[in-house]
Amino acid sequence: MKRFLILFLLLPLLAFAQDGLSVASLFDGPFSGNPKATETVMTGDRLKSYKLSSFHSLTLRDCPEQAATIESLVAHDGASAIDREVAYRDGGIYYAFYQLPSRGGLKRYLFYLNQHRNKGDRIVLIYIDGKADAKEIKKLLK
Amino acid sequence: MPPSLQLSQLIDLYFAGLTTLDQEQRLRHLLATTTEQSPMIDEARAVISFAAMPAAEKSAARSNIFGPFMQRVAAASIVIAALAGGITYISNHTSELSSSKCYAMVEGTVINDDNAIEDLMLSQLSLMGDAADDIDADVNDDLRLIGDIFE
Repeated sequence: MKRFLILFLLLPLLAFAQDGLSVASLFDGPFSGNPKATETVMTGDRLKSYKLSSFHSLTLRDCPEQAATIESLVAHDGASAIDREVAYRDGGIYYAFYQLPSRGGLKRYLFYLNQHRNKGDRIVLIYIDGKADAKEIKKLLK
Repeated sequence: MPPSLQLSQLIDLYFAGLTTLDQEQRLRHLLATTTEQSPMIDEARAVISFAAMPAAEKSAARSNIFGPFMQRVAAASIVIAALAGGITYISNHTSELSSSKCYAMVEGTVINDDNAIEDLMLSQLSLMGDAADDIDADVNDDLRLIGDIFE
């Protein structure tokens, strides 16, 4: 009974600790040093003019075999999205935009693109958070 | 082992609030003297004993339910909730105060030029824009086809 109570009390802390996304594991370094990978990280002042707090991206060139793993993680995080635009081609996700539930007052967005499904050669994954709403985010795409 | 019929009936009447004074006294006597054992008898003894306690003792008995352990548990939960809330507040607000990060690793080459990285960010977003336009065009084509059918 004591152990149960202690665990119950620790649950809120665990919830905070696990408030990440499945795709976070892709930005944690598995592709660091990979000659076919481009990783971009931006936080802070540089993003203020875009009303963003952080920007993380991963681009893989000529790595179609990575699509299945990445798509399953994207789909997992996208399942809780409050807004989404998803296009499928050849039985898989070609393009996806998800607005995820906000955390800590920041709106969160996830973009995924698999150009292999449209005669291209890149897989692109982008995570953005900040104060910008979906309309302002989509303006950045132009 | 279930209690005898008489005891069982008296206990049922007592819990239903239907015992006369005589029946209640009879029940108390039986509970005090019987050698029978059953959960029903134990429960009846506990309730009748509690009901017989003076009010001050009853109040103390109730408060003992939340004894020292539960008090510690309650205090710990308040501290943990406050800590968790504080940590969240600080982490959300120090991200604005902490130094900016701006770097990229492009196919094995580290890029530290902020302008170049910003351009990279915009070009990646532009790829998404192109794909979104592509999809919009497909959707418009499909809607046009459907429209043609109904003309």
